[in-house]
Amino acid sequence: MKPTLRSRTLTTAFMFVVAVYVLLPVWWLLVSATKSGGDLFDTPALWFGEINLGTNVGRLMEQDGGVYPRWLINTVIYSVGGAVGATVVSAMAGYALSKYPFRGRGAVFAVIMFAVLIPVPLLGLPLYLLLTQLGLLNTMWGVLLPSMVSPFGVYLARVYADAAVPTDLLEAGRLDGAGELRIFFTVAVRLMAPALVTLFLFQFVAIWNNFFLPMIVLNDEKLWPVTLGLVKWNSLRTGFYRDMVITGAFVSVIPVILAFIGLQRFWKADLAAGSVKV
Amino acid sequence: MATIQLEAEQRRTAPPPRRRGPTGNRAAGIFLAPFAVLFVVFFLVPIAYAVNESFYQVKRSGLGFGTPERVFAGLDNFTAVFADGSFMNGIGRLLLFGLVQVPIMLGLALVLALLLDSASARFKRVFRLTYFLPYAVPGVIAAIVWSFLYTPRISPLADLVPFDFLSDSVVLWSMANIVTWTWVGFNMLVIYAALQSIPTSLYEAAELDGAGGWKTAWYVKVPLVRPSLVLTGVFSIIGTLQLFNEPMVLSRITPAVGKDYTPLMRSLQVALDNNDYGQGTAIALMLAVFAAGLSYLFIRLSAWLTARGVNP
Amino acid sequence: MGKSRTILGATGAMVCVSLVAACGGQPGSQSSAAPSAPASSAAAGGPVTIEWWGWAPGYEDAAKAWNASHPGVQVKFTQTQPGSQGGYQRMLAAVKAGNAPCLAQVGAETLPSFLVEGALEDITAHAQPYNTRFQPWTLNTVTFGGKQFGIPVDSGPMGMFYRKDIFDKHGIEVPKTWDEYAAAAEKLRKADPEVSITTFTPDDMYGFAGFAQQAGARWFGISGDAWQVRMNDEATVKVANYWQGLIDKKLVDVMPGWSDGLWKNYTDGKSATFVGAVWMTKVLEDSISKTSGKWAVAPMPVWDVASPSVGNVGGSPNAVLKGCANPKEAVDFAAWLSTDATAFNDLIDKGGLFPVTVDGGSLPNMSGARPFYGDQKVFQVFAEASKNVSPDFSWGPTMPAVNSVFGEAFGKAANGKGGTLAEAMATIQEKAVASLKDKGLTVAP
Repeated sequence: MKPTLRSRTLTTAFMFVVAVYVLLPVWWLLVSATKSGGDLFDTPALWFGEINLGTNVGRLMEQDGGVYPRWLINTVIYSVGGAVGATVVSAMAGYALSKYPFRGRGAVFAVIMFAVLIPVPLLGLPLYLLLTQLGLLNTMWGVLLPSMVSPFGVYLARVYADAAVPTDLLEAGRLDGAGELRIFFTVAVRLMAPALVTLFLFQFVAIWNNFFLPMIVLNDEKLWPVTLGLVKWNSLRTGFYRDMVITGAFVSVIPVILAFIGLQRFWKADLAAGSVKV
Repeated sequence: MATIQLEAEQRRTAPPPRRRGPTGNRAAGIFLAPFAVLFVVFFLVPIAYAVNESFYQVKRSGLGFGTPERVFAGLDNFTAVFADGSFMNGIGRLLLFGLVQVPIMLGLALVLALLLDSASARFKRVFRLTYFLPYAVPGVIAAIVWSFLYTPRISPLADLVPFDFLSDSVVLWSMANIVTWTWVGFNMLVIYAALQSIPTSLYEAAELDGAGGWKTAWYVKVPLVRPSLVLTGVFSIIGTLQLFNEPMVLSRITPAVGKDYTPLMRSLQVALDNNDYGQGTAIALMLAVFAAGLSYLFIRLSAWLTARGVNP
Repeated sequence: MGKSRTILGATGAMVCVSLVAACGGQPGSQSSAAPSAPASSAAAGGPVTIEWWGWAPGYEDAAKAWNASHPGVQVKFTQTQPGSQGGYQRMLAAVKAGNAPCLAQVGAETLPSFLVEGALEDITAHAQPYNTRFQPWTLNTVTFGGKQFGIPVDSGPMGMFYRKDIFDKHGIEVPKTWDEYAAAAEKLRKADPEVSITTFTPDDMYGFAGFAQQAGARWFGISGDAWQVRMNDEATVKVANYWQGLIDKKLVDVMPGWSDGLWKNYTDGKSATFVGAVWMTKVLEDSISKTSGKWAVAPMPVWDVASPSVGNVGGSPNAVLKGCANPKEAVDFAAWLSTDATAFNDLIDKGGLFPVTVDGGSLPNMSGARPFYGDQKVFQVFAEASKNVSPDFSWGPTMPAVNSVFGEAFGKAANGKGGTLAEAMATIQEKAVASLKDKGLTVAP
């Protein structure tokens, strides 16, 4: 059935209104990133004053001995490494919980749930003591390894495995003599691909914006991700650093947008229709 | 626990599992091992430490210049949670907040996901990216942005509305707006990805039967993404009870929000500002118990509704 | 490496030559701050390494300069998150884990709370030889119950930043006392209803403490084996009532500290003065740069012209954390940082730090003319003020906790949403006492 013109127009209008709501603060960020030297307060908040984006970005890259590009690279390392790890680890665990009715499955789930209920900021002190013991304090691994644990990711992978991976297909694979690991990597992962991409994206962004974990783990400014650096600059509370924080934030959102655009093609709507069909 | 219920429920909708026996168990073990190891080390061990500490207090005397002494305190930290009203006040605010904000946010997320999945929408890629953008804005920046947009006299929005975003009676809903703005795209994507994994054949059949777009969506798609809706619901409830960042941001620009506005703020105020880790953890644990209970109720309710044929 | 060390050494020597007063004038200062022979606790062998955490701009370079001239004691500096942004949390965790740095930047207001957590080493003996170089009131902020727990680095004596153009335009004299200030506020409102004398920031406890300190308040003290808590003493109530009066007559604006609303007010010229600490010099330059050239600095208005005492806001001493193996070397370095003429002169420039030494006012960077203030030599005003800081003010052991309840109570009062400022101080006093008792500390009645 082809949608009528009226329904298409109404739908698009509604989505446009929501988009305006969502974009308004982002627009403010973009406009503000082009202002400097106190223009923030005596030019219209939602429109450009003198365009100083180039100057701001130039300063940003050189500020404090050019530490910002380094923060950006660190963030990419943490986000990509952590998200790849988290996706693999969560996919395997979620798949196991979905497809193998082993004893104690409910208990495993209950424990994971329990962990989500504990607010993470309270775990700062024990995490610090633990990382000291493991020799991971102030190292990149100290950020990467904990970033690979995502209870939410396991839930998500399980829900998606339930929906997207028919048990019949696994049985068929087994009858063909394929091992469990092989079935997972060749059959299940392919079927779960759109969901796994989503999972990767969530974890990527979550690590990209994480402040708390790196704050506990990392002392050395040179290992910091962008968030930590921006929080520090913001706490210096001067107008100059404020320009740097806004521009720095704006620049830091761009890679996330690129990652999103890059991953879009894995969603079904953009693949040949029915490719995920069983 | 609530999860067992979730689990049992999902088993009802999932196709019956067939693989049992030792091979299956071993494979399950291999698949779970990497997560289990990391989870135990970086989640359970710190949690165990925190739980243990909640039974201890640090004692000092006089000026406190001597070495503080750590003593077992039994349940004292837990009874002290209710000694002043701040914990229950915080819970009360959050219940009000959650009753209004969570349905609005998830309803909007569901509608957007269905529209993106429907044939009616144009510019899907652009809209999908747009809705997700707020989630990509770092928290420190969201704080700067919203502080600017809420402050009277400088906000371009302040003149457009008949109220003050930061006044006692409005500030809770200003907070709800920030949370909705940040998370609606995220929840939309969770649901959208679930829609993506529904075999197209299922609703092609419905369309062949002559069901319109909305009918297909409501009677075919929504029941199929129900596990995802329950998931986003549970996580939104937990997220609401752990509300911290948004009120913290607003507490810096208005006295209407104190530093103990939500239970988690109170917990961190005690743990970090007062340096009383045991008491702070006890508050967090009481909060966790509360969140577990509420999640359980939510899952029961949604199962009951489904059983009576109410959608979703 | 060797080359740059020589260059640094040479520069240091040159500046020293030109600065007779700061170099040779103080017997036993530079030379004693530099231990030429390995000290007692340093075993015969390699150089002693001192770990140092902090976030002030300029510290990294200072450590480099020290290392170049002191091969026996090497300082390893790590740039950390500012204290309130997680830095303190990390330091306390490190003390618990047993891997704390020897030396750390700890704000004067936070120092006593570190003390009751058992996180500080008593450095009285090691610090003694250097104490003559410091202004006595700054030592007060690091000394508790007769023992010293930190080496002061910088301070924040207060002054009055004012819009010279606005005062000139309306023919209003620059106020020297608080009475004149209130009178000027009224004149200003009459001359231009759009303009207020200042924007009051009620959530800024440390700023208000500066006002209270000036009036002679003593919020915390030690009496025998008990803490004294007097956050609503007579002087504090006097100051609270003064501001309440200005608020009631609508002569001042009220905004949260450090907020957009505050900067907007000043950018638009809606407020004519800002009474604050010396480090606001740079903050104003950066934050309201549009008004450059229109500002000037005068001494803070006083209560009594006969004894013109002023307040102080801020200051971050270096403290020796528990478990430090080489406290003497750590103190030697910390003292050098605060007192060495070259080192501190650089810190004024790079970090905007204001010296705490008796002769700090004569450092070359103290007399820079600043275009934002019409080329006034601003720091000279504060150097004078620094001598008149009310000496007996010290902090209590639960300032982070008190600060976390201050903003709500004081803010509500200032915004007319509950009680007066003086009543709010009574509430805060109660909560402050409770916060000490919660810790098991004894509070004197």
